[in-house]
Amino acid sequence: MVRGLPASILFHASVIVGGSIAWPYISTPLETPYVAVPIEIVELGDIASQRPQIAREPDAEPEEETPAVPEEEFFEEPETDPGEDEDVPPEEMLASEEAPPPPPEPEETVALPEETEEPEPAEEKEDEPEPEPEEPEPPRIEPDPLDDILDFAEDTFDQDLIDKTPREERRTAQPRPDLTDEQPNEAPSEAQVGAGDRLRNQQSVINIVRAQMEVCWDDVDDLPRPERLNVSVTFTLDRDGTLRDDVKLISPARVPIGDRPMQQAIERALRAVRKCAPYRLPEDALVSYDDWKDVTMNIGPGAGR
Amino acid sequence: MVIRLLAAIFVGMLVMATGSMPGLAPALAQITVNVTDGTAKPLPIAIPAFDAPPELRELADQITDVVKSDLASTGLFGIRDQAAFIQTDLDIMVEPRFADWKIIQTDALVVGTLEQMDDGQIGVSFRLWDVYGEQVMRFEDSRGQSQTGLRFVTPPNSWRRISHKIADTIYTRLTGEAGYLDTRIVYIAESGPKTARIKKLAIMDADGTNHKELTSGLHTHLTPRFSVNDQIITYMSYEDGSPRVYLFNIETGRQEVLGNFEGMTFAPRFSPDGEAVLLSLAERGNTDLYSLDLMTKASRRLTDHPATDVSPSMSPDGRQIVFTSDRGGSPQLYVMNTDGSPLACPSGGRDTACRITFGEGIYSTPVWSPRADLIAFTKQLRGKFYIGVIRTDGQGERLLTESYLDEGPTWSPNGRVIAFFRESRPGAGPQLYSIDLTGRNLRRLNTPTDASDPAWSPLLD
Repeated sequence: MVRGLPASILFHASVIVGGSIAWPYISTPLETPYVAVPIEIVELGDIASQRPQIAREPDAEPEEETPAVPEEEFFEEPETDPGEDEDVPPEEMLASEEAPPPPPEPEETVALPEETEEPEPAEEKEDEPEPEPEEPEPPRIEPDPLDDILDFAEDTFDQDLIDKTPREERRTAQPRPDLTDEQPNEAPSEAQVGAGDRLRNQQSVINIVRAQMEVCWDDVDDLPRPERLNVSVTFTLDRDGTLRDDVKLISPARVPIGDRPMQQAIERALRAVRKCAPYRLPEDALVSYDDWKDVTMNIGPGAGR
Repeated sequence: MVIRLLAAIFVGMLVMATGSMPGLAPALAQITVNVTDGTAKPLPIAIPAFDAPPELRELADQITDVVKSDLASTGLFGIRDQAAFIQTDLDIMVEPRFADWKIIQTDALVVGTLEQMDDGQIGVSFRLWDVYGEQVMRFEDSRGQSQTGLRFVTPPNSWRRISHKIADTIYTRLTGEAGYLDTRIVYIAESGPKTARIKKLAIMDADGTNHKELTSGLHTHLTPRFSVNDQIITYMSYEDGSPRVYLFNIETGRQEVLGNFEGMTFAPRFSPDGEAVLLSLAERGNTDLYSLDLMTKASRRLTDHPATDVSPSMSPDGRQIVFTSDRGGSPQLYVMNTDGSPLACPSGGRDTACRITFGEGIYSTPVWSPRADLIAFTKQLRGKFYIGVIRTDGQGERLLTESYLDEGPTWSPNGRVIAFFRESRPGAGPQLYSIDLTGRNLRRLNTPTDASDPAWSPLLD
């Protein structure tokens, strides 16, 4: 009996550890309603007060972020089209105030301005990937399936013994003061938030993002047949409300050539999404960041219908 | 032992159940946001003074100012104040520091430069930057090629034209609509007492600059209209004592009476192709519509009705004509096929002319929009005048303005703006105004004298 105790402890421990590692894999497809589990009461107000500041760094340090593009990326020596510059037809012949019956004489002749095109130096180069901006972009938090498991394992054990800095940041070795320094130790992980709260968080993010977009989006009511000008985009939000990558167009799949209204609608949608960032997000929702970080946005008079 | 084993398995399962929560994440992993309501507001745009060598500095400032004022006049752009600019070392060859422009909440940035060309002309180059997209906005050049920037070359004295063209290019790129800023407006300049009013034909740039009088005022001129060719104007004049329609060539200053009609001709308007003039002919107590071919000088009767038919305006495709007629008892708008064949009326039945206005009041001076979908008109109701628009099937009437006297709508060539003249109170002289199709952005067009009967030119070549 006495000898059996260590064996029993060992056995239980192995079951617990094994289960905690293996279960997330097994449970991934679980679609049944969530299981009510005890939730640690967390003062969301505390988290809110220590919420990472919305990143304004790009604005603050402009010099570092956008290196001047070499001149050859743009106009080369602009040339005028000799054929167009000459032989300019006169225009703006305007009559003078002469006596009535004889028709007024032209009094001024102005040459037509000519439009000459640039030699398209940047045509190909523009399409090349832009030089990566060196702005203090928040470190990318690559979703790693292992993290969920490991985080869960950590949560399962004594929390005080474990570095609660998000794993991604430890991995990137690039300190992110707004998260690492200020992240409260008692911040709950997703595992500690009920699915009902998570759904509510999602909805509050949806609502607040939509409200901000309604201000940023210059609608298409002034364009012909606006009801057809619906655009869908996708993007990923960082915790601070900035766009992790640039927004991507998903519908229409590409900018249609020759359809000016749709081109306009796409430009206005993309501009609005970019302009609206960083989005002000509900602080409560940060605890379930993974649930809402990926956003599909339908923009247009018939969006979502 | 067995019990302990079972207990251990139970505890293990409990832990596993507790750990199941992260497994819910995939079902919740993405959110969808539907945005159906936006805010139509002026697009913030920064237009720093164009770069220039010292000898062109003043000209560069003038051009920049006209571009800014042109774009501001559309009501669709909010011009950022230069005092707020952070980046002042812009170079057309170098990407701007977008962050500096985001801070002042600018959506678009224009960077331009002037240079002296060898032949004495000036070259004005410019780029348009999408600040939030952090990329250059491409233009389509006159050959349909995509360009990262454009340059206009011109003699220095036509700097205003260049400025209007730059503004039109930016307007088109940012709104998706054809421009209308590089246009002119012909109008009747009025002066003198009511009893001896002098009415001269005059012309100005669409921004209210460059006023020129085209006629002396010895004879009264009314209702000028531009041809699709921006050099020819038709109007009605009392030159030989009775009202007749004339053609006037702005370039040569030559004037000729139009057609060989016995009666009075008035209310002329060019067909959209510029090859014919539609007009009203009053003859033996009846007024009907005629079309006069400018090449052959042959006239064709369009209506033959005992009622008074006036003010014809042709649809952009040339197939239909809208006009005013009192055949229903009071002046209302009617639509007919240009070839005179019967058409199916929106209100039912087939007829050679379909009434499209049924509201209270009197409708007159219809003008078919260059976009083809709307007809602008003057409406008179209970002592007030209105400028309004209605769809060609008679639906969707919208009144855009209201005053003591608003009259004579004329469309900008892109069909976005309507100019008209207004007498704000009895005895006040007429003045020119413009209004956006949305009913917003009412603007006074400044003229040196009282002014009436505006007519917008096509986009200049």
